[in-house]
Formats: sequence, structure tokens, C-alpha cells
Amino acid sequence: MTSGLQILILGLALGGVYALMAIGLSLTYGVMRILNLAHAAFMVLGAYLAYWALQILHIDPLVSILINGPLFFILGIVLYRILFVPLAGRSRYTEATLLLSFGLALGIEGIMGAMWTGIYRLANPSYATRSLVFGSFYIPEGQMYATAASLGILIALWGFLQKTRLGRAIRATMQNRTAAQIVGVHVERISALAFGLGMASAGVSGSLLSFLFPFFPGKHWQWISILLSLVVLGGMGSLIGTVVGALMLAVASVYVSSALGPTWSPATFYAALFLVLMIRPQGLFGKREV
Amino acid sequence: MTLLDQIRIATPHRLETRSLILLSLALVLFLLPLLQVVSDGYNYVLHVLMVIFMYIAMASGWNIIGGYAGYTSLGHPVFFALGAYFSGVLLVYRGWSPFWTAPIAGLVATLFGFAFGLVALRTRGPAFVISTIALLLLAQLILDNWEWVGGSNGLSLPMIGWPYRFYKIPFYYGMLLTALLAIWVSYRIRHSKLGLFLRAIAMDETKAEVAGIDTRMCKVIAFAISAFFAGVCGALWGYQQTYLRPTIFLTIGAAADLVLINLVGGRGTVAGPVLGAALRVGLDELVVNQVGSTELNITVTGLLMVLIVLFFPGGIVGALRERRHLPRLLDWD
Amino acid sequence: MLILEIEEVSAGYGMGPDILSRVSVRFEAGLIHCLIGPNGAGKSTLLRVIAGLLRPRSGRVLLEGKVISGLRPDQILAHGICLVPQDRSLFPDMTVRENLLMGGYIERDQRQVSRRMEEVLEIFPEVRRHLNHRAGTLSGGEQQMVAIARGLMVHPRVMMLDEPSLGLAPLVVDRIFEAISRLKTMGITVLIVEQNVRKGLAYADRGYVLDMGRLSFEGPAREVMEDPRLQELYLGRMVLSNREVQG
Repeated sequence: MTSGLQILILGLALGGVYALMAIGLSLTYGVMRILNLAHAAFMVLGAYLAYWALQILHIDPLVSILINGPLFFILGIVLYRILFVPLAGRSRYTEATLLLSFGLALGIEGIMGAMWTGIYRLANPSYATRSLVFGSFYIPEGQMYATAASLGILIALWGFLQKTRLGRAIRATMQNRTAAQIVGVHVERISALAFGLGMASAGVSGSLLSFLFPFFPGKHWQWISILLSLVVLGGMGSLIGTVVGALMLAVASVYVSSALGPTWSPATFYAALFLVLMIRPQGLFGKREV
Repeated sequence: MTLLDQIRIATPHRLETRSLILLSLALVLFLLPLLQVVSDGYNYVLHVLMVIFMYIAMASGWNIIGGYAGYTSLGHPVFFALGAYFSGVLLVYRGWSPFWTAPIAGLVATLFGFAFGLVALRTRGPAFVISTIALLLLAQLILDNWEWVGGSNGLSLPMIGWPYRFYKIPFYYGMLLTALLAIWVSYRIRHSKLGLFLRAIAMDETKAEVAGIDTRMCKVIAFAISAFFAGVCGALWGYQQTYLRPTIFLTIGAAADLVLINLVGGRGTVAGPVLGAALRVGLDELVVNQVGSTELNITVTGLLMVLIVLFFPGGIVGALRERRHLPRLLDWD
Repeated sequence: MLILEIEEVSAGYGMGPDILSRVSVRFEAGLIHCLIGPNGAGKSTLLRVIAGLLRPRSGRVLLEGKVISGLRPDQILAHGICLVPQDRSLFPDMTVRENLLMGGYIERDQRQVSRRMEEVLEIFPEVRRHLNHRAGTLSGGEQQMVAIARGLMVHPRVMMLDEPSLGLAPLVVDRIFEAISRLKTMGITVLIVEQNVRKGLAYADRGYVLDMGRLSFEGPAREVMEDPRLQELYLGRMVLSNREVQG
């Protein structure tokens, strides 16, 4: 057993990374009601790219964030234009996007399997195995860098959404799509931007994932359900809810992991999801009508 | 109730000469195993047909919640596994034949589906599909770590004590009966008040609710019924494989199969899943068994799904009906 | 001088029937125009067509002789036509300040936007004290004021208000209509859709009566008010509560 404070430290550190991983899911759902089931598949793809960059080009995963971000941003805009724009105006739009992204996830999984086989991978930068000790507490060095990077990116995203014209337009579209149109927001363009940002967050999370957790192509299913669980807990489409949900569930999962063993830590998320659906289906920060 | 009236008007009742054709087809399928009794060499044919029947049963069941009500479930492999392990454990520890326990396995899956549905179907929309993915992964985790049922190594079942020549026949009949039952139930629901309500939910759940439909109960009942067929199929399939293992049953790929079969054939139609299942197994036998299975199979599944969603959202039955070319033989709605 | 011309416009939603059927109306610059008519007459639909939120099935809309139908909503807004819809359409989780900033969204120069916000706040000083409140927490009347102020952010030439008095107490309604009169003094052409017939016509220069997707008749507001056809239309087609008729 680890001490309570130690669990809290590790949990919050982990939660920061989970928040970054899930924020894009929340953003794309909030802005356009697209539930992107391929989000984690793109994240794992990002992890493979970061792994490659380290193995072949000796680029540190923390540096490959700068490659993955723009790369996945552009990929996101292209995918949005090709795949999601044609669905606009379709009745039962969310359902259609869900099936579409499900197909996309399977497609990427197969391609990753063909390229990199099903073997577990883990990028191994120099800091991955070291730990920092503060008195009676410790924190793995890699985890600390990943958390710092996540927080930095999340704060930058927050600043963008709060303080810039385009960021405000994204929030406006999330809150009231028609009203956004009325004040002259070109909502299709804003949607493409938001989808690109969501994908970019998947890409940069992949860089962090590459050295934090072992991964293989099929692993993205576990990730997507973990991330969706905390999005549902926070309230679908609420960005602040996603961050709070990530911190809460990460701490809970670290606790479960230390009490019952790491095997059961993913179960924390599933159990939390069922509990939320039972007690407060709209989540912590969600509005009634989901 | 204008929404309901609209749907009702769009649903003419027709069942004439084509029922003769379908009945004779069923008769042929019932008599087919005689070939194997008379002369050996038809085991492969029987096996392929049995797999088709299984997919027809499961996909038609899935269609009740996923098609009529429009709630995509990726959790059906859990019911499949539940049926397999329920009957498998009774066979190993009690010696009871799965041929008798399979219907009970189906009922167990139904009960479990009902309970799970009560929780997961409280909300509208996409939270449901999320909860079914979580259910699948949770079931994986539990079965992987539950030593009594073999853990991740799985559970070996005793072989059926029949001569090899007749080995497939009981499974063939079991799956055929399950498939026919599934089609019949699907047809009856499609033409019942419940079916009407479910389709109203798929079109516009808010309006359905305003019209006084207890949408939650309708969804939960549909989900529970649809779980039954996966449970029965699991029990029979596990016995047939003589081996149960979490990774065989509990995969997203298996869930994707049910979705794809329905999308290809035509989601929300009675004939859609039947057509889709036949195509799915047929293509699998023709292509995969020739070329061999690779990692890219799953990519093909995914791309097919993307293309169908983009270009043929109604599937085969939907596309034919839209162009008014749907043969009456296939118009069971 | 004419500012807006609607020529033979037909429009409807999705696969549904025509809500507007070949309606033609002309609006003069600098006046307050009040559109009235029974429910489903197509008043709100007409505003949506002008704002570009709904594409007409046939016919066209001209602004000072230039065709604007078929343009995107943001392009029409850039031409100086803004809409304050029935539900006010504020951004509930944003502050009033942010709502105003969003009103100036099509202006890219942020200094221009800030300057304009100051001007608008001088015209509507009552909005200033709510600047840092979340829009969703304001009362209906306050929200309506903010919505009008937000519309002003783009220097509109034409402002369209869809039932500005809906759900407001009589005293508040007076304040709103007073604000609308202020728009006129600024040279803005105003189009109001009103169920509150008496109130709407009292403040308007001209009245337009729509019925079954067509223009039934029009004229100076006072004449329209006294026109027996108006009584007939309302009493014949629908039962209005006393309060609504008397305003």
C-alpha cells in the first residue's frame, strides 16, 4: 500500500495527462456533436509516430509533440472536410458520425497492425526509468514532464478559447449554433478548426503516451473507453467537466491500482461510467438534455 | 400521434406467394443434412450454413435495438460470451448438454441485458454506445482474471459424443432453429406496437416521448430481447468449438461484425440482417480463406463501414427500396 | 427611399410545404416597420430568409437594388442586416461583454470592436452594469436589451427583431420599444415581428399584415390598426386572448 498523499500526487499527475487526452473528444462533441470513436486510435497512431521518431531519428517524444500537433491538426481538417462535411444535415447526425468514426478506428487499427505488428511497444527516452524523490514522496520523471507538457498545452488551449476571436467563436458555436450563425460565424469553418484542434490534441497525447504506457494497435479501445468514461462523468461537451472528470478518475484509478493491483485499474473507469449513468446521467457539468 | 400515423401508413402488410417460396427454402434447409447422412462430404457446406444461421440470428437480434430503435450496441459479444460460459460451465461441472441449456443461456443473457439496459438506456443518444464499449472491456477484464472459468487460458469443453460424420448436424439444426426464431421475432416486432414505438424513438425520441411513449422501457425491452439470440448462439458456438476463451468471444471486431452486417443489409429492416449475414460469411469463405487472414481484414471492415455510412446509409434493402427495385421476396417490412 | 425589397419569395423548411408563397414586400429606409399576422403566417420565416438563415426556394431579396438572397448569413450580416431572433439567441455561458464582442465577430480588428462596444454602451447605458454577468443569468428584458446591443455591434443599417416583447412584463415591454425607437433616431431601418399587435403598431411607422404566406395588406401603422380587415383576420382565424389584442 502506498500512502494517501502519494496516491493523490500520482493520480493528479496522471489526471493532467488524461485531461489532455480527452479534451479533444469533448471539444469535437461540444462544437459539432461528433462523437469521435477514432480519437484514441489516432492517439495510438501518434504514439507510434513518436516511437519511430525516437528510434530512427532520435527525436525525443517531448520534442515530437511539435511534429505531431501540426501534423494531426492538418489531418483532422482534411478528414473533416472529406468525411464529415458530406454528413451535414443528415437526420440522426451524431449516430452517423459515430458509425463513421467507428469504421475509421477499425481502419487505422488494421493499418497499424500491418505496419508495426501486435507487439507491445514503449518508447524509452533517458528519463523514462528515473524517478524524482521529494522527502518521502516520489514521482517518475517521465510522468512529471508529461504532466507539465499537458498542463502547458491545456493552458494554451484555454487561453486561445477565452482570449482570441476564433476561440470565442468556438465557444459560441458550442453554446448556441444558430446564435453563432446570426453574429456571422461561419460555423462550418469553425467546426473544421475545432475538429483539427481535437485531432491535434490526440496527436500530442500520442507523443506522451509513447513513453508513459505500453501500447499496441488494439489498445486504443481501452483508451477510448477510459477517455469517454471521464468525458461522460464531466458532462459531454463540457471542457471544464472533462478536466475535472480526468483528475477525479485518475486519482481513483491510482487508488484502485494500489489496493487491488494494476489489472483492475481500468475497471475504475467502467464502474464510474455505470455509476454516473445511474445517478446523474448528464454528468457533473452537463446540461439535462444530452 | 402524427409521427406514429406516418410510420403506420408507410407499412403495408403483404404476405402471399413469396411466403411459399420462403417456406420451401426453409424446407430445403431442413432436409439438407440428409445429404451428409446418405453420403459423407457435406460437413463443410453444413458448417458454412451453420455460421450463416448464427450470424443471421445474432444480427437480426442486434437489429431490434440497433436498427429499429437506432441505438448502436457494441456490447453484444458480452451476451454471446455469457451464453457460451453459462452453458460451458454447466457442461464441465454438471455434465448438462448445451443443447438443453442453450435456451436458458439465452434467457440469462436476456435478464442481464434487461438489468444493464435499465442503467445504460437512461440517457438518450451517444452515452449508450460508450457504456456498451465499457461493458465489453469490463467483461474481458473479469473473464481474463476469473480462474474458476479458466481465466485467460480459457475452458476446454468435452466433445459431443457423436461420430465425426454426424458431428455438425445437431449444431446445424440448433443454429437454424435459432435463426428462424430470430427472424420470426424480428418480423413480429417490426409489425407490432413495440416496433412502431421503437422506430418512433429512432426518428425523434423527444417527439416519441411527448406522444406518451415510455421510451426508456421500450428501449430496455428491445435490448433485452436482442440479447437473447446472442446468448443462445454463444452457448451453441462454444460447444461446437469445444473451447472457451475470452479473446475468442469478447472482441470489438465481433461487435463490428454485427454492425457491419446490419449496415450492409439494411439497418432497421427485417431482411437486411439476413442478407448481410449471408454476404458476410460468403465473402469471408471466398476471399479470406483464399487469401488468408491478415491484419488488414479489420481495415477492410472499417473502410466498408465508412463507405456505407457515406454513400449507402440504407444498406442493400434501403437502397433498393429507394429506387423501387426491392424484390417483393425481400420486402418483409 | 427603398432599402429592402422582397420579390416573389417562396420558402419553407426541409421537405415541408411553402411557408411563404411568392410574397413581395418593400421596406423604406429609416422607418420602423411592423409585421403582424396570425401564427404560421410566415413572419419569422421572412426574417430568416432575409438574414440568410433560410434559402428561398424561389424569388429574391434585394438590398438597395443589389441581390443578397443566396449569400451566407455572415455575408448578409456584413451588408449591415442583423437579426435578433425570438429566443434572443445569446450565448448563455458567456459574459455580456463576451456576447457583445461576439456581436462584432465579423470585424477582425479588435480595437475597432472595443471602440464600437463603448459606443454601444453609451447608447444603452443600462447594459453596462451587467457586463461581467453571465448572459444566461439575466432576466428576459435584460437579455433582450443585450441582444439588441449585440446587434448594434455591426453598425447595422437594418435591424430585424422577432417578437421582442415575448414573455416580458408590460413595463419591460415599454422599455424595449423605447429602445427600438432609439434605433430609429440613429437612422437604422427596423423590422419588427409582433404578436402584440397594438403595441407594435403604436411604435411603428408602417404596418404589414401577413396571412397564409402572403402579404394581405399594408399601410401607415395607424390605418392598419383601424382597418376592419385586421379584426376579421384575428377573430376569424384564431382566438386571441384579450390581453394580447389589447396589449
